[in-house]
Amino acid sequence: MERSDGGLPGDRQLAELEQALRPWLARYLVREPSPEASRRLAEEVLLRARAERERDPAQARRPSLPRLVRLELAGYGRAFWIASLALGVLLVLASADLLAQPGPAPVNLFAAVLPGYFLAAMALGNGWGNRAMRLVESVTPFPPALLWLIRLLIATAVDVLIGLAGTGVLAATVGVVQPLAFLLQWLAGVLAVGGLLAWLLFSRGFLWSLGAGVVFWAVLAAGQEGLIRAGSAWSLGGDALLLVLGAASTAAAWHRSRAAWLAGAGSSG
Amino acid sequence: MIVVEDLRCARGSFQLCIEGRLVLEPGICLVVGANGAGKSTFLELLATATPPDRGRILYDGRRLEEDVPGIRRRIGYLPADLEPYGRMTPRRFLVYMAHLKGLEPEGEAELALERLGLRAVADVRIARLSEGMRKRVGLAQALLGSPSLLFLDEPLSQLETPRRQEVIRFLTRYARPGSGRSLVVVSHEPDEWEAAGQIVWLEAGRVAFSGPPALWTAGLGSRVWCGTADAAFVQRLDPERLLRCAWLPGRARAEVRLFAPEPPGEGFQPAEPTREEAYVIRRAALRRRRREERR
Repeated sequence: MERSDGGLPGDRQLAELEQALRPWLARYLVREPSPEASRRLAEEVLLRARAERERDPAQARRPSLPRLVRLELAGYGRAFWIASLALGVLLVLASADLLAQPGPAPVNLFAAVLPGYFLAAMALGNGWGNRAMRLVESVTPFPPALLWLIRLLIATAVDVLIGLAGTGVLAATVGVVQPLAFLLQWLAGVLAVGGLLAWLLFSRGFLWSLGAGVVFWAVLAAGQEGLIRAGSAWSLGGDALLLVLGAASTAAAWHRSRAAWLAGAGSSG
Repeated sequence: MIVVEDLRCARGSFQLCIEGRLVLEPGICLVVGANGAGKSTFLELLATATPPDRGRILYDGRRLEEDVPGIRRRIGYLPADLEPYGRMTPRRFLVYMAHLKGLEPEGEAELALERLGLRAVADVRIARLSEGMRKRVGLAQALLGSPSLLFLDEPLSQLETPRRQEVIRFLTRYARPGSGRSLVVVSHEPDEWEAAGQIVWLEAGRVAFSGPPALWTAGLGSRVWCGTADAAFVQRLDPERLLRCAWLPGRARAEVRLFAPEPPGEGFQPAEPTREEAYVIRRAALRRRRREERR
């Protein structure tokens, strides 16, 4: 641009030009959004997503099992994992002593202790003694049984891991005479206590299930010695029966909880 | 709109018994009553956390059994004694709850943290938070998914005064008329909830009153009087009729608020009862009636 006198435009003219163009250029300027604007946008997006979900209930996200397991695991403290490890080591050491002695071992320590540990794992996990949290967790669009089965699953998995690792170490070091029978003995006890716990949890509430679980565990521990003494066939038959009972009561618990949920009952005790 | 019909729920020797039809309009509904009157049980039933022994609850004309996921998705619930898992952080806890409710976990959790002013402590373990903060975490989980039916059992307990006012302002905006949202709140401080459109008074498991606040503070059978009185006058007063007594310096005279059918003495002026005072007056009248019935 040239001035009328042939020179370059001055600062004043440039400023006037900038002023005149400002309204036209404003729309092309990108401003950083304020926190308030971001919050409103986030709220709007979520509200729209919610409205869509309400239009089509099938669109509601079903809780994914792996994600829920991960979130649940976060609820177990470091003390729980240290105690689990310590228990596993103690069980191996005590069992090694028993198995090293001549003659058949009078008791399977794994079968006697692991069902009790399962009860402790459930009691120390999330939600057990927290009624208000159980109430809140039950007011969801999905059956609360899912959550409880995940908790049972975690407790069972930790129990089985300790048992398997212990059995492996014993088989490799002292040599367990019948590794499969040894494994079945403690696994049957764990599954039977777990199944009973699940079934009573969804039918009678948590105090009942915990009390009955402890009594059943005591009966199992006391009856184990008699079965071992009666012979391996009796022992095997007893363990198989416990295994079937455990699986059947877990399935019954699931159906019962689902039926209660469909009838509008939210709480699991 | 929530309609409760012939509801019954027994808990040991206590029974909640709502006879006939109780309608809870959209907006804010306050549930008041003494300890053990059945307020929390009533809220549990409304929130579908406990099934009733008899009767039914209709949510916009639908029973829970007709659409469990649809109705549950619209409900936010805060029990009075909620203790969120202490080993989790508020962020993880809200993600967990959003996940359980079938919501978009991260976005909803962030929004809830923002709404309740919990961003600064989002990654601190809940066990390390103050009671007030834990209460806010509980409230945040109830607000996940912006539910249209919100049931809060004493949401302001353990909160300091400025935070109480903030929460009330937020919830009043949340359930403003025309929003289509219902907020049912159990509270021992009915005066704090100025925007409430309905008050339900539960007494020994039964509905003793349900109606708008204007009706709650009217037709009490007694009037509220305020004035100053000397110590001898205060000592002569029936303590059941005394609403407030603040001694003036020197303790020779006191500012008194009391209720009585007639002016209690010279210099006393009639005053408008607050909602809390209306509750005291109604309760006293009920007690008197019961005493007379027993005689």
